[in-house]
Amino acid sequence: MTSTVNRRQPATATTSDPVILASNVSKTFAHEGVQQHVLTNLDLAIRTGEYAVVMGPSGAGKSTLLHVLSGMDAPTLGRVRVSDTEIADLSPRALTEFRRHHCGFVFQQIQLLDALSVLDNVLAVGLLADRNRRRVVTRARELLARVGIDEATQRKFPGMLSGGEAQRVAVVRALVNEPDVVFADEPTGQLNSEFSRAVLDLLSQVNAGGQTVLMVTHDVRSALRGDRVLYLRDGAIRGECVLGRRAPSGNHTAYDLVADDERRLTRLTGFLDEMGW
Amino acid sequence: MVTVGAIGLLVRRYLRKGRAQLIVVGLLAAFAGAMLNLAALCAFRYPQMIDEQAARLRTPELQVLAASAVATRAVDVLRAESAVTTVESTQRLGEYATLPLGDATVDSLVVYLDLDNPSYLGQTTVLERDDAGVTDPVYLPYLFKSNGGYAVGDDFTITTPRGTRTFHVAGFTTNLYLGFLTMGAIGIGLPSEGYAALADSPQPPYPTSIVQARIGDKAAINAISARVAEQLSAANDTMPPTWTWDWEMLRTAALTGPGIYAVSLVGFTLVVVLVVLMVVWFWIRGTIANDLRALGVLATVGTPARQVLAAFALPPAIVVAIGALAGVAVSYAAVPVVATSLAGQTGLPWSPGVDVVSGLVIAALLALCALALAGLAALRVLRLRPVEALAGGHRSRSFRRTLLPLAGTRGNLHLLLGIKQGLAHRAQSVMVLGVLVVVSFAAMASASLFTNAVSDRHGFMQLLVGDLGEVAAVATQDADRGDLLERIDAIPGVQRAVYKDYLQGTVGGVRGGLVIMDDFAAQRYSSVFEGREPKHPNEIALGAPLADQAGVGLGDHVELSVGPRSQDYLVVGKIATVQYAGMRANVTTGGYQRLVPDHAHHDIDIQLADDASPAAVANQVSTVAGDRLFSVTNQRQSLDSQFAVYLQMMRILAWGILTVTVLVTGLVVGLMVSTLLAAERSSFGVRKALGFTGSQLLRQLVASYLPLAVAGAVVGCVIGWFLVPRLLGVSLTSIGLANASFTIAPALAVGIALVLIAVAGLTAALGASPLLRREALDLMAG
Ligand SMILES: Nc1ncnc2c1ncn2[C@@H]1O[C@H](COP(=O)(O)OP(=O)(O)OP(=O)(O)O)[C@@H](O)[C@H]1O
Ligand SMILES: [Mg+2]
Repeated sequence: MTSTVNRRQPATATTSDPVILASNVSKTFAHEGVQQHVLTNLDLAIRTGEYAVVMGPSGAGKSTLLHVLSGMDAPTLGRVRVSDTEIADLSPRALTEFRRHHCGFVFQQIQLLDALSVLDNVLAVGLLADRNRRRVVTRARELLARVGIDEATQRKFPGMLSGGEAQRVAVVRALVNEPDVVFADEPTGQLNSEFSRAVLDLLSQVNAGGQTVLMVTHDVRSALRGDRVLYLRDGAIRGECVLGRRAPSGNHTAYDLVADDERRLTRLTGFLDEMGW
Repeated sequence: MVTVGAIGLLVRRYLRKGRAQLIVVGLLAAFAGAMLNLAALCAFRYPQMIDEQAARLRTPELQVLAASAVATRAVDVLRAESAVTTVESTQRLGEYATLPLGDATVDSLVVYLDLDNPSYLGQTTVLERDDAGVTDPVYLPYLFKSNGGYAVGDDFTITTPRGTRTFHVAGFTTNLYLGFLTMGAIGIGLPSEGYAALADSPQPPYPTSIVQARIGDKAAINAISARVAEQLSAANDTMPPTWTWDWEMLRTAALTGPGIYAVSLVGFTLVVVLVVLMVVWFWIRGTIANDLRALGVLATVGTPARQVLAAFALPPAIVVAIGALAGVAVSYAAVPVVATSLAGQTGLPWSPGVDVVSGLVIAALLALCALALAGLAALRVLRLRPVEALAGGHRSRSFRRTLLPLAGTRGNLHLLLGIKQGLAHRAQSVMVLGVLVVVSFAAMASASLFTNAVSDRHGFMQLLVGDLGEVAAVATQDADRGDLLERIDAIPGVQRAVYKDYLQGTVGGVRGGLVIMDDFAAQRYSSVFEGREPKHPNEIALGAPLADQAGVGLGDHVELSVGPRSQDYLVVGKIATVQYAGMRANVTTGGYQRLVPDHAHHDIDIQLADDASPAAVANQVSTVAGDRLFSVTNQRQSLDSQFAVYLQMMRILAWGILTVTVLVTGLVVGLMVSTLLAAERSSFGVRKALGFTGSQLLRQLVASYLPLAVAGAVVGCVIGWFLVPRLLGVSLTSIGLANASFTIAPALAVGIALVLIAVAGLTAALGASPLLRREALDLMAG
């Protein structure tokens, strides 16, 4: 199998065709006879290589939006296109295979597989897409090390992990197949600032490599990593704040970066105030 | 009592989550209850029915059938015995005849009974009587209805060497001595006019006496019947020949069938009960492991552990009791099948009423087993420390090692993931393994018994009764023996005709059958399993049970007496046979003539070429030498019809057991899969979300237990392969067949393993197919 990186646009090409295009998407849940319209006529376009962040009040439907966009759940109405594929046209099996190769997902509830060790949790997904065992193992170990999961922890089982360790493993699992789009539902929700940074750095880095990232977060500092912050409320995107591309940390002095982040922070807090955050 | 409420919640949760287990345990308990009830009916109610019939029909302890000319000798002997309380001699008609029985025929001594002039002892019950409706009415033993399918009004033609007699069926009878297919004499009832007409016919049957005696002292029966036989043995050439039976012998023969049913059913019930207990054990252990935290909470608030124990142990016991009762009730539906197959051997109709007490006892017994085991499984609760419980079993997790790490193990990803899942659910995996071992072993036992009897039917019969020619004939007293044999030998299809007399004698004080031949080497098959056949006049070979009872072995000397004469013989061989229940001896003609110097042969054993038709040859024999023969018998045919009854029984048992085996396998694997799915539902959802397709998940699921199912089936079949033939051999040795060797066709073993594995696979696929359809998020929602 050829490396998936080859298929991608360069990191700077954020203005190209959208990798995700949602039009008129509605999602309604019915539970015990009560209908709840979580998403209503939602339109959204995420460009290839973009790092988009979704924010919004709890219960607004952020997780639901990620499920619908990643093909894990079908919208009640409307259409979703991912990487030029109409999600609704795919058979269940084709959809599963599409997700396997194009979408990585970090669940809000983490969802590691209890019966498998940490390393096996990552490898099971890795080996599903890439038969080259050595390459997958190397990549998995490297990614795990990057988020501070050491060899001993890699041999543990999910039931033994701290919440933060588990979340970092979940992020690595979503990245191991180098998917076109990484859907990350509050990937830093359980993390202290040090490990938050490790995870966010990792996401920024894969984004810099050309993978699109769509992240849900409640944390303003995490949101600063994004090129654009979308605000979801009452079933639709109520506004967006374009922060522009954050300079990769490697090309800047620490001072520049801080100054850059300060500007972005001011802009984002202004936007969030406006949205009633 | 706050804690009772908490326990109530716990129990409700345990029952709700264990619905699959409840159903499986209930169903298995029903199987066990049904089989035990049938076994109990066969083991207790059938003998009871026979004893009641015996009492009602005034069945004598001893019955002798003899030509009327010699019967007075038996009467004299019996009158002289102090233990004999009543003697009755009834004049009847008798002859050898061939009777149609369904599609087959039976060669037997037929005794015509005058139903309107019944005897006092050994009465005949008429079950249906319809003289008015048919001409030439005849009343047949009930087995002609149960086995032969006869109905009132049917034609019934009896063939004798001297012509045919045609009747119409007017009803059916029971008679304990003369209603058995396997005993050699069949009583046929006629109304007085019909009986008189038969006596006056141009070729009437021979005057035959039925001598019956009631014997108060049961211990004396054997000795008395030996003395009667001695008195009559000098009259072996009469027609009809003499038959002596005692009630104990008959009762034992009548109870063989029910005994086989009872033993097999109990044996297989044990298998099912073992499976029930395994399921209960793992169910309770699993519940305790899952609810450790709740149990810890209960313990910290001071709930007596005893209450918790009862809460866990009682529900399985109650379910077992209910299931068993249901099974007992349903089992009555199977009684007619069993009753019909038994009627084929005993000629007795049987429809036992519902026995509430035995049903309750069975249910209580099974429930008690379940209660004991459930209690044992739940004992873990008593040893539980609250802190440990509150930790929710995390401690045990910390000791888990990664087996088959994906980083270093070659092999299919889904297979590996499945195996890992199986390892994570160790208790259930052990259960599947154990159940399949037990079940495949049981399947091997039943199937091999069946195939050995059926596939080599004639080999099996030979094993049981030794070498019997396909056709037999009895020479008349004045026939020229040498000339007769030559004529028969000349018939096309006859390989060899030899004299082989069946007589009676007393060996070392024990009565038994004697087989007399000029040269035992003329047999195609020798039943001798130790030593050799007798060659010289001073030698004898004994059936193993006879040798045991006489207390002699190879190389010993033993006294053989016939009538008043006795001689000493050297034991040179032991015979394995079920003929005369193993109470049989082989002596050369020269040896027998030491006791009866003027003995002349009369029984002719006719061996046929492989492709010759016994029926055709029997006809030819009648044509060529009918005037010098008392009877011509198609032995192959009559053995076949006698064995058909046993084969039918084995077929019922084998199919019954195989069915239950398949159901048990299906149930247990289904249980395992549904439990696994319930426990791993959300993890399957996650897998689906991560990009595993439904069929990949199915493969993982199958891989998580199929290796164990395969291992279990293979182990069970291998154990069965080695053990079953030995077990069957041992059990046949006990009925006199020391050289019985059972083999199991490799194809059969492989076939059984494959069937069980296929059942396991199919059940799993069916149980797991919802997995293929459900959406990832749906499953993850739990
Ligand atoms: N399967 C479902 N059935 C019924 N209601 C659902 C279902 N899934 C989500 N909901 C409802 O939809 C709404 C949106 O849920 P969602 O998880 O998308 O919110 P969210 O924005 O991710 O919230 P949070 O920030 O707390 O994670 C909630 O009110 C939730 O109760
Ligand atoms: Mg959410």
